[in-house]
Amino acid sequence: MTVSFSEKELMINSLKISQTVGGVLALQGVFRSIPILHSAQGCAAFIKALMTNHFRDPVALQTTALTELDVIFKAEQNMVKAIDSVIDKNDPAVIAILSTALTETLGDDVKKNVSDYRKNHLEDTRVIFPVSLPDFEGSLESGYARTVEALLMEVSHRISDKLPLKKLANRVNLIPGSHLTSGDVMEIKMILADFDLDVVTIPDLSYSLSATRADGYSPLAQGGSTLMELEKIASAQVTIVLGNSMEKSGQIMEEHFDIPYVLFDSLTGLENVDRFFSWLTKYTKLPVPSRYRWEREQLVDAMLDSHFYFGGKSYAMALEPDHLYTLVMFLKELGCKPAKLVSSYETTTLKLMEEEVEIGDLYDLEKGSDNADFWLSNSHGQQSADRLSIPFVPIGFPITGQIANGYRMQVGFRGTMELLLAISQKIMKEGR
Amino acid sequence: MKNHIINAFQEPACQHNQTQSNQQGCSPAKPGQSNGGCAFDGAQITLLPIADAAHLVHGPIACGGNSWERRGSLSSDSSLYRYGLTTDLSEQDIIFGGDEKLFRSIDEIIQRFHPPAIFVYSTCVTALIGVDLDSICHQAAKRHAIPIIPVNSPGFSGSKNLGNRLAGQALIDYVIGTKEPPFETPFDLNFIGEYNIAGEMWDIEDLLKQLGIRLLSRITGDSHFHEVQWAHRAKVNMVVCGRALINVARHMEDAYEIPYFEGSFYGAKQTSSSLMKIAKLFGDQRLIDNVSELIKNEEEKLEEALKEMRNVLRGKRALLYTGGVKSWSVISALQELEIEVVGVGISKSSQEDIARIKDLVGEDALLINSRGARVVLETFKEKQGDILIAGGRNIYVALKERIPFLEINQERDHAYAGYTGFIRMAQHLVNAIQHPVWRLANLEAPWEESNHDRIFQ
Repeated sequence: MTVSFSEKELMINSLKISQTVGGVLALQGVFRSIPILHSAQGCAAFIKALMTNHFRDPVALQTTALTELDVIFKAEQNMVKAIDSVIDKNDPAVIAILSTALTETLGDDVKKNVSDYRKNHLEDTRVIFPVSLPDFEGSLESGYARTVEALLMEVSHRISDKLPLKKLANRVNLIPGSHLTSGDVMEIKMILADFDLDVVTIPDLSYSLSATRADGYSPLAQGGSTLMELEKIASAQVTIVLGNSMEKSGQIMEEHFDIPYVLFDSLTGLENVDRFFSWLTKYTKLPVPSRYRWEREQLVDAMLDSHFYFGGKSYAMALEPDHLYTLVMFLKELGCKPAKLVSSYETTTLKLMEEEVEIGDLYDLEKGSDNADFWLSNSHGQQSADRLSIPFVPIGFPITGQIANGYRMQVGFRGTMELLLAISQKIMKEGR
Repeated sequence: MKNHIINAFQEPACQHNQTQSNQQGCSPAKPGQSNGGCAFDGAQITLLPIADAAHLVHGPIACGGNSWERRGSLSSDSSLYRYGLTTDLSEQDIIFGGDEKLFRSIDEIIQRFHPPAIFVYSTCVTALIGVDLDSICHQAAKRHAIPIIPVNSPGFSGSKNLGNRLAGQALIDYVIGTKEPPFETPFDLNFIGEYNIAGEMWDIEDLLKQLGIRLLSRITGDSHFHEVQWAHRAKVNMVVCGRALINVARHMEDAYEIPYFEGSFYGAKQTSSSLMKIAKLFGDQRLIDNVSELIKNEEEKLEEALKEMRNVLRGKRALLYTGGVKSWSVISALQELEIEVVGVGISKSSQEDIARIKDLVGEDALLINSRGARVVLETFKEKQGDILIAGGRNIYVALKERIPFLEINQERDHAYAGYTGFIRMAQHLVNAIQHPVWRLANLEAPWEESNHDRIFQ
């Protein structure tokens, strides 16, 4: 056990973000989908503002807009009205009803209500599913994971009577974790394509929240996997799961369709990327394309060139669990050691880490990082890094004050190098 | 509904008031068709700029954790308002009421930060489980001997606008009139509803200083708690952001006989007229003469600066989609630049705002009474607009449609008030409209079929 907990009663400068943000993020990777927050209107407005500001792209999101009186008498009615209205105005392919602390406290049974709605609308065949995402549990990572699990269950039921007779030779499923950007998912998809694999990604942020699948503005998700693509998941030979938080999704695929899964807890850093390529080349029996050989050489060269600057440096870092784990391993390759690590909620991943991690907030990190040489966290950590007068490296969610947060990469040889360069630039320019 | 909320709806100076004539009040949000913020959001917008106070959100993580550090209000010294403080209620806390956690959180804030005051915000969940915020704050205030102010504005009680007003009520009930200023001057002025977005109040404050007018209390952009306490000693109140805090101005008129007027600093015309109104309310002839002199000088400098930009902007067609006072004050600023306003969003405007809009834009402009982005885009195309001017939420909607855009609401990074702000705004309009990206982004890729000629030429 290496996990400890903040001793404060009060949350000061929260790292944790509500699970619903993760849920909304996951749905952006499903084409023509829309999440409906079962909440007061402000819950959705905050999330919309937060995500729009980070991604600099419109975000598909609606709300049941509960008022004080609705809460007592007609939360279900509001949900029905919200679904009707969204169908009437936008005709989405997929609708997710996400519960919040408000409706969970109320004891509103979203599961039953959604099932009732579907019984009353048997002619409507689109996907409508509930996800329980109370704010008082987990964080962004768990909200995203739960939503993907719920989506997979829903799709599984939907295709249970039309399962393919056999698996297709080159088909694989890809389940990326919430810490991966659109750019990351695109990079991984391109690597898989270079190994002649035909991939279905669940959810697929690679061309959502950035350059999108369809042109122009729509209130629905404009990128992501289509429902038709999602319905092909049962024909895959294997599921590639990225991030420990997504393992349960891999298990769902195994249980429902007898598709084995392979889990990579990180695709960042030389050894982890090597592991991925060894698996790929073994699995496909194809050689590693020369482009990646060249990228690997470049990464090693950059690691050599930068080791004077990174060696012996200590860092303060606050991130969601899987992301934290990934970057701790990477920074170890660069010869850096943590001054203090903070994460948002307790997970098995954190418990198995050698390093000590505190479940707390950015204030806890600030108080333990007097001797750190640099700071990595979302943009809320900037003020702490400024007070400590150490270089600030923005990573995670949300990030403000820079563009292309959706495209920045940290996976594969190329992404690892991009991240290395971003950090080294800060240290060399501003470090002490 | 609780009494204080009903009172906020019955504000006599508010045009949304349902008891007056046959106007519709602030209509509730519609399920599946709503984009606006909640009353909690509105209360925070109003109070958070009080920079040296602690602002504690009593609720689950979504309320505080998803919303902190989102506003563009700047502070010149204190930074405690930039800390996101919340009780982050767990399931256990909710079952047991969360009172103990709130008490201990207040203790911790005082021990760590020694603030002059704490604002404690209720949220939907704490309202639902019946937390008695007033009583807890009262007890804690007694124990710690500093003001601890309950802000009863849970999200589900209504819109952002209502939250502004409930926050104003908290200032009336607990803050204004509870301390005396160190000294008074004959020309003490308050701003009400000015939030110092991107530091734009500082440009105005410079002008006031030149005229010998002192800003006694800034409510609330770039303020410290004590100055709000002694706001009742001002001689004149100016309500800057329209109707949102009209209750505060009206209260001070009733209780302390401070005259107020509503004005704006967008555009040269309104900046000049607001300065003149301030001088006239002070009733000092020398001040009035000085204002005339300043206006003359500033407007001359302005004309010189705007000369070339006018050639670009003259006759351009703008669609304005914003709320409250900005819906008319920005129109007037645009018209000064000879930009034609071809459409105006009015879904968040009061009857009085709408009357002013109609006066300004005439018959041909379209008034859009809808909150959907789609309607805005359709109107823009139909009216052949050149630029869309709206809040941050719509930036990327516009960019998806390759439409030039100027951001006007609270999250923006640029100061547009006063004479210098007006020049900046004109410059940004020119930059947006003339940018090469509009041509480039609309180019089809050479490999698209309709472009074969370009490849094979």
